[in-house]
Amino acid sequence: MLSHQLFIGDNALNGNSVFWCNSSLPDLKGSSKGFPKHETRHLSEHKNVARCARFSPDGRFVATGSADTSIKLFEVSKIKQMLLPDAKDGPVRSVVKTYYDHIQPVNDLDFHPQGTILVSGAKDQTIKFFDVSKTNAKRSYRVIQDTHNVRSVSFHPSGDFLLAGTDHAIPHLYDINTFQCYLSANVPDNSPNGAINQVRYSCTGAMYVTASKDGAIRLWDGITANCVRSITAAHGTAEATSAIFTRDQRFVLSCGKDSTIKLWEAGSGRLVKQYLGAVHTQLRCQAIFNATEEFILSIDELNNEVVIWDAMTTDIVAKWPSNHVGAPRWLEHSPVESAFISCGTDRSIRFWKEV
Amino acid sequence: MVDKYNIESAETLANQAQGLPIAEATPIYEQLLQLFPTAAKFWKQYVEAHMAVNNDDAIKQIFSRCLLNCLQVPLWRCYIRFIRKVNDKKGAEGQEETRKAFDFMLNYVGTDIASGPVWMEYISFLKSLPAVHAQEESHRMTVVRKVYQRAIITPTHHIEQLWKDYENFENSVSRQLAKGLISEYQPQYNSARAVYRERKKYFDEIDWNMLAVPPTGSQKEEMQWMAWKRLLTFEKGNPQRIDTASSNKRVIFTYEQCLMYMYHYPDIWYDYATWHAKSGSIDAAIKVFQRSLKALTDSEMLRYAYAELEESRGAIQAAKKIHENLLGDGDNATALAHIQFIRFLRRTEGVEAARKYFLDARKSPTCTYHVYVAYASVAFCLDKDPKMAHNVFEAGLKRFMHEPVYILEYADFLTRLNDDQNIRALFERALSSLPLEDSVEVWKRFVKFEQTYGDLASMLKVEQRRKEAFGEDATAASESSLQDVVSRYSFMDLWPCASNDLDNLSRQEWLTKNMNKKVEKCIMLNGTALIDKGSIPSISTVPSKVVYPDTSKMLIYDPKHNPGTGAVTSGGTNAFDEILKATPPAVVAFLANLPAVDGPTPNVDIVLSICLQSDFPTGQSGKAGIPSQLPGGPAPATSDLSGSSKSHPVQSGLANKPTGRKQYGKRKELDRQEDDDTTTVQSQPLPQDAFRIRQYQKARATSTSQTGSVSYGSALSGDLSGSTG
Repeated sequence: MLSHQLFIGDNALNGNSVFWCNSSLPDLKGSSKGFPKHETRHLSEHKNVARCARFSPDGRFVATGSADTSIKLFEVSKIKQMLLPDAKDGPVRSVVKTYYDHIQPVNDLDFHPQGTILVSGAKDQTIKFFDVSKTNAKRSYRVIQDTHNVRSVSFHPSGDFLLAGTDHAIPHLYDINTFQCYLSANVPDNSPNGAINQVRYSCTGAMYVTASKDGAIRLWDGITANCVRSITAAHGTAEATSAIFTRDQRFVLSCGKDSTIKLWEAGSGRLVKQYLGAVHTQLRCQAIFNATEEFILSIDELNNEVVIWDAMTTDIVAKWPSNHVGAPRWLEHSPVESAFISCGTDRSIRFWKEV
Repeated sequence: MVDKYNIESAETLANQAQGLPIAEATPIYEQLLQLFPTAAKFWKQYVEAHMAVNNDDAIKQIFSRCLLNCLQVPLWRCYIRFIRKVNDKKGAEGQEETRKAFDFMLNYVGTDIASGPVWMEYISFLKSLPAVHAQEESHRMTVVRKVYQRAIITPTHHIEQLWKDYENFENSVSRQLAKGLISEYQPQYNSARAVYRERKKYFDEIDWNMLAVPPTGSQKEEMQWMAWKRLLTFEKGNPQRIDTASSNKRVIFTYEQCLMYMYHYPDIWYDYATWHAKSGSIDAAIKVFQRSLKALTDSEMLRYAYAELEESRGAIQAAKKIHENLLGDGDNATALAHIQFIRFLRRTEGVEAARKYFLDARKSPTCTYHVYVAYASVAFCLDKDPKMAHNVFEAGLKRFMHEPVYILEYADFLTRLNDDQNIRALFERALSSLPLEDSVEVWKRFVKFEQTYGDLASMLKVEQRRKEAFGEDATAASESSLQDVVSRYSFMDLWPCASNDLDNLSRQEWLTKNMNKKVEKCIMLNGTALIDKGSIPSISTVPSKVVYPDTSKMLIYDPKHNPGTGAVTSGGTNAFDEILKATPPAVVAFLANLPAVDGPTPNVDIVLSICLQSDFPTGQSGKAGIPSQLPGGPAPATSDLSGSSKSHPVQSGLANKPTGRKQYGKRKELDRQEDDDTTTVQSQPLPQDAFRIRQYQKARATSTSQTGSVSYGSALSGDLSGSTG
């Protein structure tokens, strides 16, 4: 009996269910760089669709939000420990905490740039603040009641301000010390379908960008909050689902439901590059950079794959099966290392790490 | 150096080796293990490669090299698998061998938190041993029981399982006896289980896959270091209240494991050795030091610590050997090594040995003035031989006349002899040969010396000479200022005036100086110029180029009301507040760079007027941050709301001053000169009379006419105003 148990223990040790991805497409052109192989691992399961994920700026934590209204907080070092083939036999739990505080699905998350604060925006029209350093706090310690479905949140690099993208066409800027909310005094003609899918600050806070349902990408001045450029129909009539700055703030990468991913020069609004070949027409698909900004990652909903482009040559360098049941809804890359997270409509969270 | 320990390339190399035939892989593994001698995973991979081809001799040899340094359970299990395989067919003798191997193994890694399966394996092995007679049967049972009883007080992951198995075992042997035994061991098991829960938290913090590399100061390394420190403290506290010997064994085990990962951390080696020494086993401590020197061959700290331990336990010869090692072959010995050796010899072998060595060391090319100073102080303080010390200093002076520090040391020595004649002569000799820029401290000491030893005339004379030497006679400073009087007539911490007076004096001096060269000063005041050279460190964790929103330019949105409609009020109410936040990064960086001033705060108005009257090297400053510098941008619609000029929110701050001040209830009135430090300057860029405001605007106007791009934000506004950068 004993030896039998021992055997099971051994099995658990070796049968680490790690799936080894091979880049199924070798380099098409010599000029494109190869994206390193990743291993992926099922991390955790929400009780409903996993909708969003965010890494902390130092890459030590990652949080995921779900339609089940909960938020899970993971410690990346523990995730990696879980991944080790010769990990210590004891069970490692990578979920540090689960917060149940919203009453409707969670839309977006962000970490305070310096502190240990996690904010979440949800369909219940609230923005909640969680102190991740408090070990036993299950609920938020501060709440902002907005007037709209909060679809996206982004901290100012100082951590003193917070942008909220909502069903309202203008981003809401909150002073997080006073909770005073500010709007741009100078708004372009109000689009009827201007709900904001995503809002993101640039890394100095000099600008921010919004991707909205009317297909426009808008650039806003970080000081005055004036809309300084509006790229209307950036994705035709289809929704623009994500927009982020490059680290040097010179470019904006946007993704839309027209199955295109586009790179824009922020200063001129010129279209610089397009990344094609992945179908995304249904979900709020994310196009993201890897940590070095050499590659772009997104999702092909049709084939249920993670697609990776060389950011410079725009060639597809890899297509990997997502391992989710149904196309994943969200990708989020670690800011510090070769690792990312995918959130599935199948409720599961997967962690991907360079082998 | 750092590249040598490249983790990524090591891992790739190991992966490559895995695919190669053993003959080709061996040199790769050897090379890897040379670099990472404590990387259990590489050892395991290496030995498994040999096991795959049943290379028994090589396997034994590898195990003998790694096992005792790598207390890692998977590696050891690999070892036991090997032993079992080898002894499988050898009958009773083989079984005895295997049993010994198990004992040996559990002796080393039995306290690991992951050692549960090993205990289980051992027990099932014992149970599987054949027993023919009843006597053998009962002997076997006793052995199994003993192992169980050791296992269930070891806090491992499988402790609960082991306890259940033990209960079953006892019940299967004898129900009557079981009750007594189990209730006897229950409390011990309970406390072990409680300790396990605590212990697991510490173990979870540790990255068991890390390779031992020299510290690079990365955050991850620091976290790991702290995790290990916490685990060590935990184990040292003997949380399970077991006997000292067992507890010490756990601490040793933890240290050994720690050193697998923190192999290049001298502090861990040192802690380990001192822990041994403190718990009474000096020999063990010595062994740790010897191992540490193998790991960190260059660490002088560890060598001195080691020598100290040897010396303090009376092993002079051993200590001397370490010191001699530090000296190397003599030619490249550091000055410090010479000095420490001299002092060591003086302590252990007496005056003559130290003197003799000093005479040798003098000839070494690496002998600096430090060695002379050190030996002179040994001679003076320990040997009580001022004459010898004096001779040493005098001999050194010929070589080190150009070293101001040596001169000062020599002067100090002479002061202790009260030999004012010679001190004066020394200063004169030194000052006549030292270049001006090296002589500042010597002059200072000379002045101080005269203040202590000299009469009034000589005091004044030296001060005058010093001033002349530094060419201060061009200005009024050559006249003896009141400050000189203050410095002459103060004693220790007693002053002939109040600190206010001192403040005034230094401010006056500062003003005089700065009135004369205000232009240069103002160039220095421009923060951006410095930022562009990258010479300003960031203020806090916030990157220095962060651009802040200027909410005074925005509408306040009250989410309680309907969006976008009448709920909008003027953002001007706390415009004053926002000026602070909108302070351009250049100014913030500049403020952060100001020295901490204890003395007088300059009159802000005066400083401002100086700044304003001077010619700013403008253009790049603050474009990213000061709202008033964006006239080319889209016109903000706040003008009618805040009721003041839109291009000068500074003034809008003024206009709203009454409300603004209410928010800063404790803040003093603006127009008073405040005695805060930098924050005050930040909050007070407001000139008060019409003339200065005009000046201020003029300065601003010139600055906005230029374009430049510091950050993206400014590039964009430049683009909008029609001049794409």
